[in-house]
Amino acid sequence: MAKQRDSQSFKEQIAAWPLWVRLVLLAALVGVSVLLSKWLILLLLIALGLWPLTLLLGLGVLALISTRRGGWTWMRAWLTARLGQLLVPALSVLSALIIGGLVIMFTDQAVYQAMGEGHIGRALGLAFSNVARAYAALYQGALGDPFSIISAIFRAIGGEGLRPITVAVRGPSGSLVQSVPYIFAGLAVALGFRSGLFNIGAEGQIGVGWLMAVIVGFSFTGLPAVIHLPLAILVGAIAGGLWAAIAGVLKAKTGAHEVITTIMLNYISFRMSEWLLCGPLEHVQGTCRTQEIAASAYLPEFLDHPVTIHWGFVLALAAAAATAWFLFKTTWGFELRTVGANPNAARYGGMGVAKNYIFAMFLSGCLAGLAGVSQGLGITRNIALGFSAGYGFDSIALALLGKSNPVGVVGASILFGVLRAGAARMQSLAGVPTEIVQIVQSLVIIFIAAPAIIRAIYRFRAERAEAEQAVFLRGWGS
Amino acid sequence: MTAQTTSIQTRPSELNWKDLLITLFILAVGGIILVLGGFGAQPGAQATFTDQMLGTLFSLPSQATLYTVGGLCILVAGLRLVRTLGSARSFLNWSLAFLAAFGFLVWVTSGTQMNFTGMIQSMLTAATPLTLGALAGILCERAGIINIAIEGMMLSGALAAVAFAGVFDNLWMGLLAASLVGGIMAAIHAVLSIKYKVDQIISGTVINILAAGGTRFLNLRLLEPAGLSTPGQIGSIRIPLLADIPILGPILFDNPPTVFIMLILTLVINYVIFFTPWGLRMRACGEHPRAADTVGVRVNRMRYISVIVGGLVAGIGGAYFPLDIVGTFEDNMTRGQGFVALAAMVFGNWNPFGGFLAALLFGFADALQVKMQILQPVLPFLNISIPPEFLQTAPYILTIVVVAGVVGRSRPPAEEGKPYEKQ
Amino acid sequence: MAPILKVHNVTKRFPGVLANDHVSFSLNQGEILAFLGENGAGKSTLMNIIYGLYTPDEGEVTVRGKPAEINEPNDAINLGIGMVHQHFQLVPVFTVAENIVMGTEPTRFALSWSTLGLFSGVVALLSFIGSIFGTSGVGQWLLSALTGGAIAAGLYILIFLLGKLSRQKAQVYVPAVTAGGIILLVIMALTQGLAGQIPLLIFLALLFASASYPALRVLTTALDRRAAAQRIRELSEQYGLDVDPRALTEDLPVGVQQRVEIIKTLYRKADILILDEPTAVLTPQETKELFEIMRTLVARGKSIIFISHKLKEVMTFADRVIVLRNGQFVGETTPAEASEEQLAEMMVGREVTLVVEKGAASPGKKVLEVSDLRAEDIRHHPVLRGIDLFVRAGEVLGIAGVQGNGQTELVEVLTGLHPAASGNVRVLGQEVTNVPPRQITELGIAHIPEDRQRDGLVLPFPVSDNLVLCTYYQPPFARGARLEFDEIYRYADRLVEEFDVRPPNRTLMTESLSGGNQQKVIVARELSRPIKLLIAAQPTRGLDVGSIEYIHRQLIKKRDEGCAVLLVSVELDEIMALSDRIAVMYEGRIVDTVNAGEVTREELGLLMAGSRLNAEKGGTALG
Repeated sequence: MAKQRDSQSFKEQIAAWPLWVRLVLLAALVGVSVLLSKWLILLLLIALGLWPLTLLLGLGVLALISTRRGGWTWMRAWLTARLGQLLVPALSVLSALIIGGLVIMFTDQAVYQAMGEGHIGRALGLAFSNVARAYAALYQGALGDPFSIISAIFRAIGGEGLRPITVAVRGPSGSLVQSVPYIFAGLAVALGFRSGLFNIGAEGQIGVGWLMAVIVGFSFTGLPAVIHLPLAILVGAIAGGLWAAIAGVLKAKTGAHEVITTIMLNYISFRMSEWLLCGPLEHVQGTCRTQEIAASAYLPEFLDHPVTIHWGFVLALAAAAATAWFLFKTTWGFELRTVGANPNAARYGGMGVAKNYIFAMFLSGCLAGLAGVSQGLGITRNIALGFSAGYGFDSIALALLGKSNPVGVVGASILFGVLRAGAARMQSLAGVPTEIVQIVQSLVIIFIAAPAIIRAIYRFRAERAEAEQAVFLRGWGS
Repeated sequence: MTAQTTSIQTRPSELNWKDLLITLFILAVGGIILVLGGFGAQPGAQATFTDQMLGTLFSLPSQATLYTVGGLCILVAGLRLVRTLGSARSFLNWSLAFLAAFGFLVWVTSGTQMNFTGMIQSMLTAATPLTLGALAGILCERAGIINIAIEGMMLSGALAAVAFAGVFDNLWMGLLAASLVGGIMAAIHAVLSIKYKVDQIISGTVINILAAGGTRFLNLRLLEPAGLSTPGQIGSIRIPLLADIPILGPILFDNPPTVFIMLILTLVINYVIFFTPWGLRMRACGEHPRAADTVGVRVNRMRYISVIVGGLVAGIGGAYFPLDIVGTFEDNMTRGQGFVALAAMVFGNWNPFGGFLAALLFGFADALQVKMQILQPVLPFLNISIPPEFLQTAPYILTIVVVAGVVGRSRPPAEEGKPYEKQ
Repeated sequence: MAPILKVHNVTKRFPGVLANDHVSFSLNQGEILAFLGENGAGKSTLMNIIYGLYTPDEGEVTVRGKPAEINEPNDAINLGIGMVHQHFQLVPVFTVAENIVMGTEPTRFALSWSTLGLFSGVVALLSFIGSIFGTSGVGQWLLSALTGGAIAAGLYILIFLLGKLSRQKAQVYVPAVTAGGIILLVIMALTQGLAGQIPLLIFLALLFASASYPALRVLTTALDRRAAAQRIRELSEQYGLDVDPRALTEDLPVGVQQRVEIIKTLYRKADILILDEPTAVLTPQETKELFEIMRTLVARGKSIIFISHKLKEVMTFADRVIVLRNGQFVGETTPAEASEEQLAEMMVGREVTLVVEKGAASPGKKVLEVSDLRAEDIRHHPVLRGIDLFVRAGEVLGIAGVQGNGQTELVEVLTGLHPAASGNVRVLGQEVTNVPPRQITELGIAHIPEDRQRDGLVLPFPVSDNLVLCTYYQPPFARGARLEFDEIYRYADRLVEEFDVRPPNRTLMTESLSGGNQQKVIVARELSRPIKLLIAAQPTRGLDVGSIEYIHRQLIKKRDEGCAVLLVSVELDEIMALSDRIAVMYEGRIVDTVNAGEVTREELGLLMAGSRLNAEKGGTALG
């Protein structure tokens, strides 16, 4: 109650100011952020790399707030509520990683060789050290080495410039970069789930968006970046949206299940891109790759290499905010959610179910297309064969982990980005194929979808029924 | 009361989009065939079909045939608009499908010759994994469990086939192992869907993801280093006397073992589903599980068994890819065939024979596409040959048309997709 | 005469509710015992316990003097107890015979000499043809045919023998086949030099044996459809229940489906039959026929329990009546000893006025006019065959009729949820045929749907969301596309209080509310808008008496405020109590429309069965 009053008065205070004042303030805020973006991002990366510190800082801030809101009891209540929600997902990820570790252990040739020679002790020791090495590599690749970050900060203050820091935070940067397509794709699937649709076609939609954005990128020269970049982004998004809308129309008008149609559309888009990339659009014979896009279509990077994080990250966060606002604060979002929760009641309430299916698939496809756009305009600056890297399927795990909630999706995406960035390093350092990540992800989905398993393993009773049902799905043609 | 929940999509006397889609599709197909006949084939050209044993079987004037076939397609499309078909519709649909298939065959062959028996053999072979997948799907879905994990079961079966064929140095062990591993994946799906009541589409997708990542992982980590990943092909079995029958012989009696298994299983599963008490109870579990429960049928146990047996069948389908065709394991070698098998199941109205016929049709598209890459027929007007990638999309487009046009017309088991709870 | 069934002290708890509280009763041989009670009294639960679908927490059941362990339906069936459920447990796509025999199917051994001959013959023929192209000489061809036929026959006989063997228990089959397999494989291994593989081969033999046992059992047991049909015809004749074994269940009318259910119990040799609300879906005529069947069954030695909440039926057809209330045994009596009012009081626990307080109606101008309305279902069968009706402001028009005569579709067409094929609907002069549901709402028409959970509410959403389900896009709840939550919450709080929704918390998930409160949410939503026409379909289905009275009061209140009310209900008592005029539907047509005060229950019953109230000579013509 005290909190409500406080925030109420704060909001009321701001709302009381005239519109133009608020707009000017907003513009000023945005302008300052853009100018300082380099520093803000650097700060974010350091915070990620030094996450224990960040966590402590966060707790400190929380303690500060709690002094105005009810002290320790309030803080404890707030923490238990938040952590309670996170318990099952966190345990799922933990268990998945443990099982992943077991898989790594049991598929290690060296271990079997040692066993075969009779040295059981040595074999086990080898197994554990391999897993440890693998996971250490994972951590390093994902979050960097805290100590080198701290020393890099000191060196920077000492006058060596930003270079040492950018090198030290290469890990966190890679994680965030990897999380960008995940955020978009996760939002796409989550939006679909909320509307009662299962969009497995994110993979193909990402490809279509990537392709179209890149085509716009190199087809126009001499356009100012202010026009070229938004144009490429828009075209990519709409292309993805239209590709998904095909499945939406089929579902709305014929009841065709979107799982099958989107998967088929995936394969069709793969074949078509194969043809295009190795045929008409091939830039250099034999490479199956297009030419580079014009510099005016780049999604600018914040810092220098090896930090590759680019504005796509901001775009992704903005998309998450927009999706959250759309779903929960607008009439359109309300309609989508109602159609997903109970199409019959939605019809009864006057909502057009078919129209909403198509709209939902379109929006979902736009988001997925943006994933491709951000990769094409931010990272690769062209498109080559083999671009699809499994983001589409991973995003299903994401949406489930995030309970189809944009905030949860962002959190889960960063987690998966961390895993992915780390897996690359795990492969190069410890020789473990990156597919281990997919195995871990499937396990995560299993544990999230069947929380009873986690509860059984860790032996605790179910919380009162989780109010949010993340997924509303139906069978064939209905 | 036996009330049916009405689908909110199909409302009567509204424009029936399904019908329209199918009619337009038939019209388009007929139109394309006519165009191919008019402009693609030389006026005097003949399409010659041969057989290894008998030599030239028959020869058709390509243009005339194409005109006839195209004309028939358009005629049927027109009839559909007038809606006078009734119960003859199913027969008409199937005959039309195979007629159109034949039309394309004639166009591709015009001016040259094609081994007809070989073509049918390829068709049957290509249909094998699809039929096995469809059978697996039928077993699961008739019992009430939606199964989109056929792709994953097949892929794991493929890997297991290669792995165990290598370990035991015996390709038949590979086949057995493939089946068992398919069953294990199905068991995971079953436990998740039945015991934990996870949404069946999600649990199916999990299996697919697990299989995709897991097979690649295990291949890279275990098989390649150990040199196990290339066991070779299993070769055909030739039944001595029967294979000598012209035409039918080589098609039916000279095949890799998976094809024989497929043919036998189609008959056996059809018999079991429709003629045995076990099949009756299984169908009840899918249509009205509560009714089954009240007469003492153990619904969930029945579902477990059906799903796992389905997985065993799907695993054999997966073994087809390495053991029959390629001789080794390649990443993602099933390439969506598991989903095409689902479409075959839907097209075949959840019947084994229907699934087999549908799989033949898809297999035909596949076999034709391979032939076209060799024969390189030229498109009229454009005078280029169709890029192979375009042809490879044919089965996928066909799947979309089937799923969009046929679902809702054919009836899935009424209570599939819903976990059953004893109260 | 000792009771054939005795139930003592049965108690059953579900989370949050005590469904049966130490209930005891007994059933005598050859009697018809009725269980009376309102919705939720525990009658069905008790029967499900007797039938083995639930296990009681306490108590025991005694059948024919011996205590019985009934853990699943099979146990009950073995004791001679059969049950016909309120919602039929019939598989729509099965034939009558398949539905009846499922679970106790008559079977025959699938392999026979004739199929042996067929199989070998075909293979012999094919071998013959094959050898024509391979070798030369008729002698060779015949030899090949013979060889082929012999091999085929051998294979068939092998499977035949294995199949016969699998008729034995697994303990016999598996060792036998394993032993045979091992011997065979060892011989093969030795002759082919695979000695090292012998352990593997033994394992395979064992695997094959254990896997093939269930497979062979399934494969060699075929349905004996002829035997099933024959037995069904016998039972049919014996008890006067006429059914066609080969008919498809979903095509049958409801009365025939019920007969199928009864034969299902008789097929399993039931002596004790339990019928749960058997007359819920029958016309008064069909109800009479059902009770005649019951009399026949009793005459042949069966004992019957039937559950009902309809006082009149119980009074007319039962030998004895037991009343349950809130899970407890309240009283036992006979129709001779107690009156309807007394039974009603026992059912509800307080004095119940069976009549709703309502004043006379003062109807105004016509609000709803329907002329020659026709509609089809998904399979293009006509469901509305030319409906003509009108409702005036300030009156209640009740649509009576047995479920399934088009009332559901009529409501759906009037509210825009189902297309009309032809005809028109006018509200206050404005044409609204085939207008989308949103427009219907905006015209001031309210709809209380028949299936509240499927159509009327979004259960996973909070109560506040459901209260604005139809109006969320209008100001003040939305400004443009933005939702104004303050307004929505304020509105929801007001409605929750005004309509006494319990618990009074608008943030709760609607799923957690009881049936009555869920219906109150719908009523609150629909009745709080300015409306000219209220369409209420089965508004009190499945509710307790308190909620029923509440909703009846609300409907009359709306009527008195000048609203036109169209009430659709299968409960004849409700229609007669609330309506000013009554229209009866039968097979998609309005058979007749009468003034409520001028018609008797029996006349309505006749109309519901399709006969027209014909003035000439009192004869009735089927409309």
